[in-house]
Amino acid sequence: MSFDVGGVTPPGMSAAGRAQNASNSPSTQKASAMQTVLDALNIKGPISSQRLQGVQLPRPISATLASIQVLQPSPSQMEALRALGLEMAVLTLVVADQGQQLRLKERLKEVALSTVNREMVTELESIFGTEIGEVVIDDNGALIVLNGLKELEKSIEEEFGNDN
Amino acid sequence: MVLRKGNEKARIVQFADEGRTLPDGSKIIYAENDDKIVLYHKHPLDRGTTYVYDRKSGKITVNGKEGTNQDKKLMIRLGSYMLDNVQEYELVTVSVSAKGTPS
Repeated sequence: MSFDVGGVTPPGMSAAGRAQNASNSPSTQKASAMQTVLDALNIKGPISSQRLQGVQLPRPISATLASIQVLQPSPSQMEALRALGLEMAVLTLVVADQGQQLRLKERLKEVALSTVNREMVTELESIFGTEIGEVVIDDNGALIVLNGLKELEKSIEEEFGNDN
Repeated sequence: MVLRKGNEKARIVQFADEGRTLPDGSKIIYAENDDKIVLYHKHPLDRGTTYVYDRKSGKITVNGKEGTNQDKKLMIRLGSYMLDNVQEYELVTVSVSAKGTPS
């Protein structure tokens, strides 16, 4: 799989110059890293355009049956993590069949588990200049939230108990 | 994938589809680690509200300011609202751990 990273070519630059310029540019280095990511994940098919740390990824190559979205963390996600004292950037790779949420989730798992690929992680670490933790995605979200809410309820009960 | 510093572990519960909202149009994300429980609540165009419950001290802060039991109750209501309006399959839990540290 290959893709093209769009860019502005200075007027009058030769094809060789363009090639040289492209191979040296930071965006190409990042694109190469992204290619490594995609290859590591064995992701094939059209790619949608998303921004990754200022790099414009390619627009869909053809009619989109599936898309890969390289997303900056959502502000909500970042707020929650910041509140936990985690100084981090979050990069979520989502591979989705459009309009099929169940598939989205399945693919999200696939991708997240694949991030354990050390070679890819190392390359991303060099891009972002920070350590990348490993991530596991599972399905017990409702139970986790429920247990947290129970803990809060208990805390309120204990406080009222202390007041009495 | 999470780029991070330190050795903290955390679990984040959120919609698999980040575009998904609750019936009132808001979004809620639940997160926790050994020390804290966090609920982030945001309506479109509003500044989000971050509730942080300290598991050891039992204290709560709301957007960094000390909160009350009423805030804990609100946090519970919001969490319940989230659970009442989501199917299990719509949620994902992201468990974050440092390199080589199984979550």
